[in-house]
Amino acid sequence: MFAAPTLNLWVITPLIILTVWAIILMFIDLFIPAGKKQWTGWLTLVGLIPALALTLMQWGQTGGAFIAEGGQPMVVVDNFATFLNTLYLLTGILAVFISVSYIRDAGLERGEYYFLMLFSIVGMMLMGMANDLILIFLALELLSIPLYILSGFDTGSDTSEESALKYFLLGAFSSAFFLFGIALTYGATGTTSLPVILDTISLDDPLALAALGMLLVGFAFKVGAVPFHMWTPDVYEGAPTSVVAFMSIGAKVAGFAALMRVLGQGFPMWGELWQPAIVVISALTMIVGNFAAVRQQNIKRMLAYSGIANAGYILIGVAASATDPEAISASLYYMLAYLFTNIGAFAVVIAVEKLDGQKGLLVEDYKGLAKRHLLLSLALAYFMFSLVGIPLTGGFTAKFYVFGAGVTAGLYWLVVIGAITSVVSAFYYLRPVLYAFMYEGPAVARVSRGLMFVLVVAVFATLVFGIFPGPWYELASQATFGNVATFVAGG
Amino acid sequence: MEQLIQLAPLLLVFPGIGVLFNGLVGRKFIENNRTTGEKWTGWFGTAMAVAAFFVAVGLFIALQAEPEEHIVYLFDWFDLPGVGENGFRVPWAMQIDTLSVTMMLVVTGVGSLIHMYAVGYMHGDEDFSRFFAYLNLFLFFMLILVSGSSYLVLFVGWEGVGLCSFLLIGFWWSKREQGAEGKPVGVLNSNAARKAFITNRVGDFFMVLAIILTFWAFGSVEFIPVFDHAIEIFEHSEEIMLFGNTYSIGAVLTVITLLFLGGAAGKSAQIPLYIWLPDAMAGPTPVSALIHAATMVTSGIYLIVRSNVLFEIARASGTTVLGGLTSNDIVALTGTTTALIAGLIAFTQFDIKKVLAYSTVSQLGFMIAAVGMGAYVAAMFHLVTHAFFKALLFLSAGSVIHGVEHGHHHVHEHGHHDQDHVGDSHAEFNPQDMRNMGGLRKMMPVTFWVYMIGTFALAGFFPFAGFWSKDEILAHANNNPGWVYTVVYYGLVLAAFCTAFYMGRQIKMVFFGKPRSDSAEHAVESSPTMTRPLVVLAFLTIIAGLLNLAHFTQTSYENAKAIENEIQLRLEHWLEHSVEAYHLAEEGIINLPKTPTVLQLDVALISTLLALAAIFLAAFVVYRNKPEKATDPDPLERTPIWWMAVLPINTIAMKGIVPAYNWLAYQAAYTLDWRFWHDWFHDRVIRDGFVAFANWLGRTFDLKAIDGGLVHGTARLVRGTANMFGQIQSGYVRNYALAVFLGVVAILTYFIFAYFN
Repeated sequence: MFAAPTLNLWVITPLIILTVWAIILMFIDLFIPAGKKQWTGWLTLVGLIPALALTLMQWGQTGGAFIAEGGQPMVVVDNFATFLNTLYLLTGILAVFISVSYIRDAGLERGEYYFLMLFSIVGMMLMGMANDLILIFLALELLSIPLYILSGFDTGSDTSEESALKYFLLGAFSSAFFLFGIALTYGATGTTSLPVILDTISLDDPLALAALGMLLVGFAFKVGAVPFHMWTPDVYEGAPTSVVAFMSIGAKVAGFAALMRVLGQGFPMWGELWQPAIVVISALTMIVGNFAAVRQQNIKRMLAYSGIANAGYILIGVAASATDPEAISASLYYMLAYLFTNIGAFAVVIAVEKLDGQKGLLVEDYKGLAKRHLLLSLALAYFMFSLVGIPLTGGFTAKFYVFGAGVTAGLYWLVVIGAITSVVSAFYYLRPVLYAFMYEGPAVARVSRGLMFVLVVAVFATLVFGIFPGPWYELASQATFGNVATFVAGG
Repeated sequence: MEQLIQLAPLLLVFPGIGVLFNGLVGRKFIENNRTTGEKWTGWFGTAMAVAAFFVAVGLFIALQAEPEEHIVYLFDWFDLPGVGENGFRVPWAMQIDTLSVTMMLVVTGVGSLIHMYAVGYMHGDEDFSRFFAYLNLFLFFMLILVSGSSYLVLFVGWEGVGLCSFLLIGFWWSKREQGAEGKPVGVLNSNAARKAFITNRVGDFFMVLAIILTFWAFGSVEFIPVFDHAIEIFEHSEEIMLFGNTYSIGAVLTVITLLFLGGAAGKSAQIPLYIWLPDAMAGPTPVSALIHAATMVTSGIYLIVRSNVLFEIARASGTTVLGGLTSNDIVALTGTTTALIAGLIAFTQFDIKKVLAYSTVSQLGFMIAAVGMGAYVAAMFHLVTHAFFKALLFLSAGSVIHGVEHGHHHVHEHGHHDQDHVGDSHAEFNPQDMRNMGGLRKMMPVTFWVYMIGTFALAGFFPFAGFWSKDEILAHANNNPGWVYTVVYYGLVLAAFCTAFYMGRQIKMVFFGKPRSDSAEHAVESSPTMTRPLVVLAFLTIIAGLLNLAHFTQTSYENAKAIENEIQLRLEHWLEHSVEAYHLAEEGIINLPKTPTVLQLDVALISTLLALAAIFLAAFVVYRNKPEKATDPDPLERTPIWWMAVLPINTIAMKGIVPAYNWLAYQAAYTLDWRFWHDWFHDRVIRDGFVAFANWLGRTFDLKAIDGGLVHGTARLVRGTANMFGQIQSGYVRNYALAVFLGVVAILTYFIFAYFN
């Protein structure tokens, strides 16, 4: 066991590195001339890569820091947190590669972009590590506020401003419910620490039930689950594409992290109770997300609905975890595979997007892409196949595992809905592919070196997950709570 | 020695490197500098094959010390705990045992020689590096096929070699098979490739079913657990639970083995799926030699030998179908029928490679018949010798074609300067048509002699390799009681007679007489790069009989056995370690038909005399008045009545034999194979039937029911639903907030409702 003093800073070293580096970067940025802001971007990696290395070293370790009332740590590190932290950091690194050329070409090149992203990553990481509802709330805000700003980063664009404002208003609205949920939990149990809640909550307390409901709302908003999803299409459409690529993965995974942690470690004994709620949300999310995506002409809106739909698939694993805590490994694996496919898809969108106005974002703008950019079109096709869930892609194995978890948990109807909506999803995912390959048209693309790197990594990773899912699923299954020893308070 | 075994993955690594090198940078090398580029890419590919061969030799040496099987585990491929009783777990592992190493040695050994030959043969081809990339890729998959420790890994190789076969048959995809007068006949190469691929899919479908059934019946797809489980169930005469019913192991294994036969029939070109192999000759000749003669097409035999436990338990259980046939009997009869019919068809072919192609089908029939009779060692023995002599024959045929083509270029460069249709006549000339050849023994002496050696081996002349291996199969059939064995024996003896006949006809048409075209007259011997591998193969063809030389007396057999316990050289003892059926027979669990340990003089004598008679009949009687010109009709093509009138009186005996013979061959080749199988059955039954079915599906079912009802209905439904959801998305934050609020109300209502319940 990891011998930990009360203030066990080692647990949060990656967070410290990122925070400190973000602050230092703010100062460095002052001395970088306006035309050279890409250096701020590349310097972000100086923080992200050591943080990733440290996070990888934490694999297999269990520990907690900041002992709060009740003798429980407020921040913990376990395989679950480490697995997800790795996801955020990978997303962050890939997002940097995507962003550098994008924000330069879009004329948004300001240094804030990068350290806001770093702060947001800190918030995301804290979401999975927080062991206390108050800290989760803090993490939620830390992750959200930079994203509100980043959404509106294109200050010259009305849609960008609009998206930021919508995101902020609705985010604040749902945060209020979440905070209310925390208050009710405290009222019911006298604590906000998850392990203590587990010990003290009484099964027949209506106050606690209402609290759980409110908490669910907060997470459902972050992951974009129906009916709390409505901000997503508008925000994705308006915000700069590189920001969307980042938050469509990071914020969603962070929402799931906290949701899984709260349900799995705070309220596991109420599985029978919250499972139907998650099942219904999951089913609605899959149905609405996939069906609404069909009519989208704007590829960013389409990917927004696709993100909603994917949240529904991930929720299958969460729902299954009510009876079998191991089942979240399927969801964890899904997020890992989804990360690469999704960022790859966004990389293609960025390559095709023309930055003078909102051109190149319609599905029709992909007409004839394959004539001029065959490899890019093949990559697009591959990512879309992966999103549909066609074999030999990470998307297929991911769906396979969550459906498998659903079947094992006896959620047959949910899996049937998942399978049917997957078929529907082929409807819209294959449209840009169809346009790219089967039609004549003027589509052109620019693939910067950063984008090229992300595309190659994403294709490779999706292929690896598609062909050799075993070892990665094994990692995901080591990251469930079932494999984590209970924390020894403060070491 | 164990460390040596651990080197097994290198077997896959070397060809893999070859694929990457030739596939990625080979073309650049050649574009930079044709001569050195070809040298680099060609010899690099060859070096990788040779390296793999050395790994196989290393494994062979390692197995000398510890001949029982070794499993080299690489990684977990599938691990699905929820599937089946004990989960579906398939490691990607290599099974290194005497059987797989035998195959590896053949694949890499013959493969190396053919790579070497191809450097010369493909010289100057536009896609030189692509060819070597494919060839290396083929080796890679073939080695996966023979090294896999489970049916699933085997299947990966199985499909991979199918893919390579497709790619290589269609290597010159835009060309078309040519007739004697240069008129395009037959199918486009790309269609030949498709035909091979699609026909193989039919077999693969059975293969997949067999693998799935194996998993459900025995809970694994790995060879050793499946076999152990099957033996255990059989010994305790337990029942197998399958899909809620119980079945006897005999019934289950009969179905599985018949499905495996279906798979083997596709890959190893057995009736009724043999039709792709003759067309596969559209590929470059090294491909025909490597893939369509020596290695890939034998994987069906490998599959059955590998599954010998399942086949033997199916036999021992006594379960019969179709009125008293065990699944093994069906295997044996399928092989015999194929051997005989393909042998007959080969009579009437004019394409030098097609004769060899049908001959391959026929010889594969011998091997399938052997495994069906339980003569696993004999089958493997014939597989190995056949790999040598058939590769030799194909490569020599390639050398002949090359030589004739060369002569053709020569004629057109020096003889017809003033004619402006040189290009046209070049396109029309078919260098593979035997009617355009003749008298080549003088122009191409090396090729001629190695061809003769190959012919003698194939025809089964003492002491060439083919004699020993073919004889072992015949002796096995003769040695066991039962009408099936009798039918197999006479069928195979007849097939052996056919073999000698068509080979006699071929050497007569190609090498003897006068040249029947200018091109043949100016043919030249091929380069040493090509002839050297031929000489090596010819040497192997002469001595390969030693691998499992029959003993003349029982005493010599016993003596040899005592020594061979120390050195595992003789195929019989070498393979004993991986053909589990022999152990089961020793323990008395099953009753395995015995292969005689001593040479059966009567069998050997009959087959040798028949072979001599056939080759004599072909070369010196039927083709005595060989055609003078390319356009002269083939003696076999003439009608039986014609024969009656023209034959001299002193060959009255021929009146009875030749016409009947001729008629039978004609019927087999043109009526049965070409008109019936190729044309009528394929075009009328399969193609037209398929088209009719497709039309029905397309017009009636698809357009009306599926498109009209289901698809458009679904599309309308999806769009309608989508529009409905879309209308909610108004763009106003207040509406969105309302949705969130309603969601909160719904969730709280649910929890409160749940609380009061």
